[in-house]
Amino acid sequence: MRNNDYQKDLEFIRSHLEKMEKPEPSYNFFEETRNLCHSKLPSIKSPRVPKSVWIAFALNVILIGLLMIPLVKALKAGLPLSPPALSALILLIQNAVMLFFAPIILKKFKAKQKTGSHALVT
Amino acid sequence: MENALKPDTNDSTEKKKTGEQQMFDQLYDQHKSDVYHFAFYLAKNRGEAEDLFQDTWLRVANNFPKTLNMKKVKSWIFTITSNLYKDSLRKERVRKSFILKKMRKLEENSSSAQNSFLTEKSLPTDFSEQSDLGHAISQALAKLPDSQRQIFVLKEMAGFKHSEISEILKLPVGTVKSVLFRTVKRLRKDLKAYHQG
Repeated sequence: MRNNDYQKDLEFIRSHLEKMEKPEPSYNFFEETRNLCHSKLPSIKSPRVPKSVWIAFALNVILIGLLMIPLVKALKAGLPLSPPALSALILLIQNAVMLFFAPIILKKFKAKQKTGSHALVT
Repeated sequence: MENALKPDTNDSTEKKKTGEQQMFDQLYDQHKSDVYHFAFYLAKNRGEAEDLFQDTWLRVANNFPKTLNMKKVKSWIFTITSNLYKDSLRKERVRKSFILKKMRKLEENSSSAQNSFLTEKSLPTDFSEQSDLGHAISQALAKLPDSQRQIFVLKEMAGFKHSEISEILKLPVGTVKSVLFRTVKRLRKDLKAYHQG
């Protein structure tokens, strides 16, 4: 009985709420607030590669170049590859594969972590 | 009812936004109206509501992108609004107490003191542009004590559940339900009086 009365009262009030005009802010207020907030957002810039990493990368490229010389000579001469040359080739291929696939794997892993959250889905 | 974007917003402006801005906009556009309505019914006038609204969203922006990993972002945003309102009430009480003391001192020196501007429950002026029924409910809402009005607005206008309201306002669920029950009864009584009068 008490519940029925309460429900009736609620329905009566809701009928008034439907007729009530929702309050609106001043002109352009929402956009001004949006722009203000944009200026406060922390900007997540992509990290700059440190100099030491560039130096190591350059040394690595030079080393690979040096290792490639006997390999290229052997291939040009049509000679079978020596074990050191073969090792160098395998190392080269392995590095290339790692360099290519690592960012893709990392990106997929991060995306998987994000889809686990429900922040923007209400 | 959403505020319309400016007609000259063009695609190139949209494209220049960073990823964070786009993600923030998604959240902002989803909740801005509800948050504004809540702020308005707390503050009871447009000026204070706009301040409350802006302060809320600035807090959200400062905590971005942590919000992306939150499960109940909407509840969190409304909690910020509620807490900011409580802080403003506290400051207002301190200010009024200070002014009252000053006034009393003046009263002692003068016989024609006027305290009417310090009435605790002055009705808002921004509720005037309404249809009759809308005006009636607006007036009735404005007369409610803060706690009742907050709970009612969160439940009936923002669409929160009792448990969510309890988290936002840091009240037991039982309290939320009983306050809501009393609020509905009171509003019913006020609206009935309006129709009869």
